[in-house]
Amino acid sequence: MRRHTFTRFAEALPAAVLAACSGPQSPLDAGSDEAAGIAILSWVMFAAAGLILVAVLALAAAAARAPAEQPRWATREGWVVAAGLVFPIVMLSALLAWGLSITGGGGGASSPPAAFRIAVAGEQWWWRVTYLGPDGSALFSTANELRLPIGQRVEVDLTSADVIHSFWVPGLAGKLDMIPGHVNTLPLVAGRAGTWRGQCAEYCGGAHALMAFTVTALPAPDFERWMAAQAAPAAEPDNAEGRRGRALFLASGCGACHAVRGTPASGTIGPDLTHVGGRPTIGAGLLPTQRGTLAAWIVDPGHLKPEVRMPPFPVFRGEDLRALAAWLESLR
Amino acid sequence: MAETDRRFFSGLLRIGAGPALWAAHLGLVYGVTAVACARGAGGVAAPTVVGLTLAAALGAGWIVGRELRRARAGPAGTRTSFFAAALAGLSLVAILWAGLPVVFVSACP
Amino acid sequence: MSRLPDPRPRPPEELEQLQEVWRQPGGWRLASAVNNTYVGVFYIGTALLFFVLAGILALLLRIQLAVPENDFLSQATYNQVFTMHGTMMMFLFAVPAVEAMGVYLLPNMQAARDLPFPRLSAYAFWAYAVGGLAFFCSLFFGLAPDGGWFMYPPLTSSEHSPGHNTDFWLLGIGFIEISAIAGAIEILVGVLRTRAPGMTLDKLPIYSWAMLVFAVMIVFGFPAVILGTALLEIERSFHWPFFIAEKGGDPLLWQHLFWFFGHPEVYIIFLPAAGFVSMILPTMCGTRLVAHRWVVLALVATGFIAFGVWVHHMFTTGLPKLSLSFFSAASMAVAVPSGIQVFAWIATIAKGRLRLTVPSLFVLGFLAIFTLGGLTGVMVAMVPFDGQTHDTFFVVAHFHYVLIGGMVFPLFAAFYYWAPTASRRALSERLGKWCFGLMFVGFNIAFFPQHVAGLMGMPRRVWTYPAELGWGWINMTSTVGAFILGLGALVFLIDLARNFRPFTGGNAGNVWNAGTLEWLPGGNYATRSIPIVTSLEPLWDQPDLAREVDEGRYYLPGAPTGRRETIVTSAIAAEPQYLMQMPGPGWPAVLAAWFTAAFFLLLTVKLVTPAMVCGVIALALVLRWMWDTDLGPAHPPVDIGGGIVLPVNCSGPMSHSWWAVVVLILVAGAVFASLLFSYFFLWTVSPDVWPAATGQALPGAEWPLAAAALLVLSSALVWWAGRRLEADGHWSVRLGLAAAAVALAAALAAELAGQRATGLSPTDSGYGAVVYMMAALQGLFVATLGIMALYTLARSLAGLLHRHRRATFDNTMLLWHYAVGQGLIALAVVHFGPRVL
Repeated sequence: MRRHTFTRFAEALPAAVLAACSGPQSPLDAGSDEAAGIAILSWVMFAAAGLILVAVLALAAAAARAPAEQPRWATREGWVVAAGLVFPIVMLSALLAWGLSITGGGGGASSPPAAFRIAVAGEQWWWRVTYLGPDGSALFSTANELRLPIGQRVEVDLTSADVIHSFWVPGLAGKLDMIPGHVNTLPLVAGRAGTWRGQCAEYCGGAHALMAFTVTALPAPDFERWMAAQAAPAAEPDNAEGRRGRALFLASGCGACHAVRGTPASGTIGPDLTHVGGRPTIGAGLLPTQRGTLAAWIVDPGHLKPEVRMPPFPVFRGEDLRALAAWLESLR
Repeated sequence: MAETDRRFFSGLLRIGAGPALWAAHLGLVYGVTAVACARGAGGVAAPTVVGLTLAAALGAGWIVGRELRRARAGPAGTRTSFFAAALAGLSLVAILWAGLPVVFVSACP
Repeated sequence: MSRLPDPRPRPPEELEQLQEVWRQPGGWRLASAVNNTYVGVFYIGTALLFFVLAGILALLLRIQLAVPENDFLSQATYNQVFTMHGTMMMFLFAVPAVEAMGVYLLPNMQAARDLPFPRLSAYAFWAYAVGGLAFFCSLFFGLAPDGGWFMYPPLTSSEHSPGHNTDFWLLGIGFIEISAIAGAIEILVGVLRTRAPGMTLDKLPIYSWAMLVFAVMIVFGFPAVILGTALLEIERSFHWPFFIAEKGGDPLLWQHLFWFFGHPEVYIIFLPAAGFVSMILPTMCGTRLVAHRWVVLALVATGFIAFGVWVHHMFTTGLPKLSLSFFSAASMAVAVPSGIQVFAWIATIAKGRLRLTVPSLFVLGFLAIFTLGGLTGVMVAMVPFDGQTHDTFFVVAHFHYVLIGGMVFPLFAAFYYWAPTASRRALSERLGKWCFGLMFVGFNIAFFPQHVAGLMGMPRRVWTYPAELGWGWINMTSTVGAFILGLGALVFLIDLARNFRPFTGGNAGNVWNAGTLEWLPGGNYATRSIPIVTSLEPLWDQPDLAREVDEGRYYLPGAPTGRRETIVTSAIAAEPQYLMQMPGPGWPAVLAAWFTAAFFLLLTVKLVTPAMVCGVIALALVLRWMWDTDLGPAHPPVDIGGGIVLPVNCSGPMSHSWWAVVVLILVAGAVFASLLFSYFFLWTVSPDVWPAATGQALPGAEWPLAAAALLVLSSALVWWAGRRLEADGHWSVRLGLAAAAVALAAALAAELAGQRATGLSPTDSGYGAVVYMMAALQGLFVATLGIMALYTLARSLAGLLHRHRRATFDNTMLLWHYAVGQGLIALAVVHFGPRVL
């Protein structure tokens, strides 16, 4: 009976662990060949480590229970050398060679050239994303989201505007740090359609915990449409509320920090808001982009995200606030 | 310096020879790769690493051989020989491991 | 020639005199104690206090993370609390705890009466205790550091962390690192030179081996972080841009310096713990350690290879993949020695019959936890795997398995095992089993799930997380486990309160039937007489040893010079060389530590004048304390028994102080090597600020040549003064030293004048900063040697310096020649470097 319960538990455990190790930000829930390769390496290492741990514990238990009068096993130096020196060297040599082959496979001459490049700068506490043309010039700037064409190799140039951050989309690739004075390049190839969550992995002070982003992989035609839309200036508001929102935005000095292409607002301190309404989140992965969340953010961003650099704007209230949020939401 | 202190330091040198070789190898391959990549001369990294690894491995192997011979020659200082040989042996493994990446990994990103 | 044990009766007053000489003052004057049995216990107690405090911080962190989107702690508080938790556990608990155990155990285990520099131990302890408590209190004023325990710039630069918080870390911890180095010098010389006669290196207890490797690792590892700390504080205070990318510095330089210390640090903590295990298991199994020499080999090998793995903390920084792979390989190599030890322990268990006492349970718990921690360590050594798990809770789980499993469990085993040597009563086996059970179960519930959290993508150092990521149940489990773990620690504290009775003049005795010398009966003077050691477990092999030692039948059965004293032995064969007289209780070292702590703390909050006053007082107290050292042949040679007559005190290369200065020079050399690394590192990453690119003029050759000539002159003068001292030519010695000091200072002035003449300023660029830093480090030596020269002159004028009493001069001379060598290398690098590179 006990055995039966144990067996059932043993069968259920891997499933539970498997379920646990998935989700929008799990490296084991792979969306690219690279992440899949690492996931396989991971599972093999977990299995091997599990076996070794059980073997060591079993040996220790057997050793502790061995009666002293019996002929003793494992008490000679040679045994220690075999188990403690030779065995690890053999195992580790194999593991090292395999690990190195995965390390070496990620880049190098054999991989196809990048379809295009994206520059991502980490800033306290958001991501400035700039899509680059073939000549390296900026096509457009967005924030806290990347979109990629499925199956194409994209190179992401990682930099920092202030402190060290780390760019990490577990579903697609390992992390790579963003370090002032350095440009680190991370190749990404999304293997299937989907959306993955990424998050800053290097402690960057203050709101480090609230510095996330999303990466969405699209079929090529959808991706081309998205690129074209992003490159276009902001749409003219088609209703009075939108026009009122835009006027408030421009009159209240929001443009000192934010750019909205197609309007006089051209600040570069904060995120480019030209198509903010089309982004999945605001506040760097903090909240879904909706009229209500936008309004709450404008009035008191520091309440939602402590130490955020944007000052609160309690001056916006009632109709004004609704109009402003409505206009921003319409910028898709 | 007293005779016993002299023996202490000569023993220290023999025991430390293998690990010192390993440390020098690691420092050199790391330094060469860092400078070569920073100066856009990634091509020189791999051959240099291979050469350094072979040289260091030969050196560590030689120390193992010498200390084993010494250990066989007489009981005096067998313990020093054991430590010197075993550490050089472990260093030899570590040197070969450190050289292994050249086979799989290209020098600079 | 009499043979030992000497069967003749001992004079009746001998034991009384020994007790009188080693008597400890009572009441509040207990604080002036310098003896290792007292300072050791204070030291361990203080480390335990910080363990409890940092543990409480951990519980606060766990409460905050128990549920998603919690607001138990604010973001700013959480950031301070996690920084303090890590910093305190590493710098105020782990390293001091193992060092404290060494101070307490080593002399007893080696049957020495004390460590060679008792006041240095007292100084190191008080500096740590006072500095550490003040550092902890910064939390209550919101001034605690919040940059994470590894303090990466530019987050910790003056631009991004303008408050005093970061300075508390840099000055507070920098200062505690210095105290750790003081302790390491003490332990290194202690293991090598104060052993029982006959305790040759192959009869040295394995714990002493572990502490020897530990001390060597501190000597080479800590200087890197001390230099890094100094560079960052100088950058913050004076704007020398070592780490500022726009000015040709590099944030990665900090990471190299920090982790060159930081990874060896893990082994610095683990090796002494492995030493505990290798001592406890043989006793509990009633058999000798299997593969003894392989275990020693493993300790030594770990000590070396640990210095080749630092870059594995930097796998995600974008270094060339080939570079990363070298360190991946080295990280594999460092796992091998741990494998040897694990199987040697299992073999020992198999060979003997394990008694399931509380120490045994903690050792078994350690084996289980540490093995898993080692296996995950191999995983994160794989570059691609680390790319996914670095800076996530997987790594948090890994290093808690390694540190709690590898250090805290053996430490608790050690507490239960060795408590009977310090306390009148042993600790309770019943409470101990509860303590172990709660800690083992609680630990695994707390930390195993964190592997899963990491694999679900949870980064470390996040103060909150959104509910929809599904990390809530894992974190709740972890929090529950943490509280169970905390409960285990609480049971231990209750056990201590009920049973631990130190300083009562007696102890519980050899309750485990152990074989090593710390279980000999004795008092504050350690053992009545010092035995001859003929095996690894003397108490097992010589059944009458304990009685004979206590009857005074071996070496040094009293206090023949009327002062505290211990036998100094040779490094390999442990042959008695001379009798060292030692200080008794006294205030100067203790007060010097208080004022040193005050100096650093006041400097932190930029109260410069009071800080300087405290600094001067501290220096005066140190000199006062030093004044009583270098006793010379204060007593005629002494018969210590067994036909051995030893000189009293000693100078020259045989003396313990000479060895200590040699170790100090190794520390200084490691600091300088770190600075040279910084120079070449900045050249590698930022050639654009080097003179070849900027056109910055270099000083003409006459400047460095003049400086070099002055340096050589200064060394020659000191050498000449040493020769004249041999002939007791006192005025030549005084003049020679004074002239040498002037030459040394003039060399520095020439270097500075040469650099200033080109218009180079340290605030210009990383190049300017590192060039002037070379001069600044030399300046530190000029100042130190200036003080030492004045002090030597003062001793000479007081008639305390002559050819038989010259350790003060010798120590100054050794450091002098080192400083000249360092200065010459610095000149060569600073002046040839830019012309060649």
